[in-house]
Amino acid sequence: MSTLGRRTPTILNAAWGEIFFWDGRASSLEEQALGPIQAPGEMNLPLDQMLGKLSELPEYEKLFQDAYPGEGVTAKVVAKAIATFERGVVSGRAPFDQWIAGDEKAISDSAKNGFKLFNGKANCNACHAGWRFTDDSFHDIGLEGDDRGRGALLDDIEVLQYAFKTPTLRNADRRGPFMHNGTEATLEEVVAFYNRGGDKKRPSLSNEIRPLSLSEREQKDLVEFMKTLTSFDGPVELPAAPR
Amino acid sequence: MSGLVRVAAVALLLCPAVSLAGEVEVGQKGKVFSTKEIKVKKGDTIVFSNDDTVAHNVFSRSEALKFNLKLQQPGEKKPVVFDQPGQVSVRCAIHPSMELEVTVEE
Repeated sequence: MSTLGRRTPTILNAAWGEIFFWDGRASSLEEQALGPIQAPGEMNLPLDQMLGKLSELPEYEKLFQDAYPGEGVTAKVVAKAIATFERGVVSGRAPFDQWIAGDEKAISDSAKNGFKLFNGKANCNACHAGWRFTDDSFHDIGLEGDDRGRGALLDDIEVLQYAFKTPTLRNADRRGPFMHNGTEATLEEVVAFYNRGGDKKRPSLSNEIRPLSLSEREQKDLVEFMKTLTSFDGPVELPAAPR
Repeated sequence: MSGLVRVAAVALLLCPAVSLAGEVEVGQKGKVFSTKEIKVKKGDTIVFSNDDTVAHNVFSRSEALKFNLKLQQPGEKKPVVFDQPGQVSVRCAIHPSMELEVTVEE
């Protein structure tokens, strides 16, 4: 089995996403949903074959008819169904939210200091902004590698070369390894990477990336803060599909 | 009305084919354009003003007008002349939340 060049992006809170895939090549979840099904390195399943497989399972016909009356079982409807499921995968309340709501004991002093650094000296909120802790923006953050990311789609725009979409930090400590290529194994390694201003200095390097001069203590505080973004809810229950 | 202004007004009346190009400023605060849609006349200028706290990269790939303002730091202003009628979709390459539709009229 081959390994993909990019880590699988989370679908958590994708309902609020501006644009999809690490390189933003899909403008909707519906458009995104059919990509991995057909991708040679993933499911490698042409859409007509996918529809053939679905037609072999008569339960699907009724399920689609109930959900999308009169629309039939087409690739477009399959995309709508998958996108609708994905929109239901939402992070719940986290310790950070309790703190914001006024519970001073919900997070540690270290995490509180981490939040200050996040919005100040560490400059994380320049991109990891809003309640999802991402603005879906694209940046070359200085990772090694030849993958041009969004730059392969818009090759005349310098800032997009080697640029990838900013991921959400909600529930991040459940999703390692990190970065589009999985080069950083832990949140501690991620913070250390940003603290040294990235590794690869190209002309496209985001001007938000620079050495941060964070102390060991401050780096630990940032990690403590990020851990408070993990919600109390358990794993999403996968729907039982006809077989 | 001063004599000079009166002369200028008369000159404009006598030359109806001459239209003065307009200029309008569009901001980028909070990673959104200050308007989502705008109508301008052919020959008008939109000044893209980065009144935000982060850098932007405004561009268009529309047939009516293609341009790339490249990296624009906070505080910078960059003008673009819309010299062809049509629809122009303006975006920020960095921030997909920034969308502006420009209608350029004759």
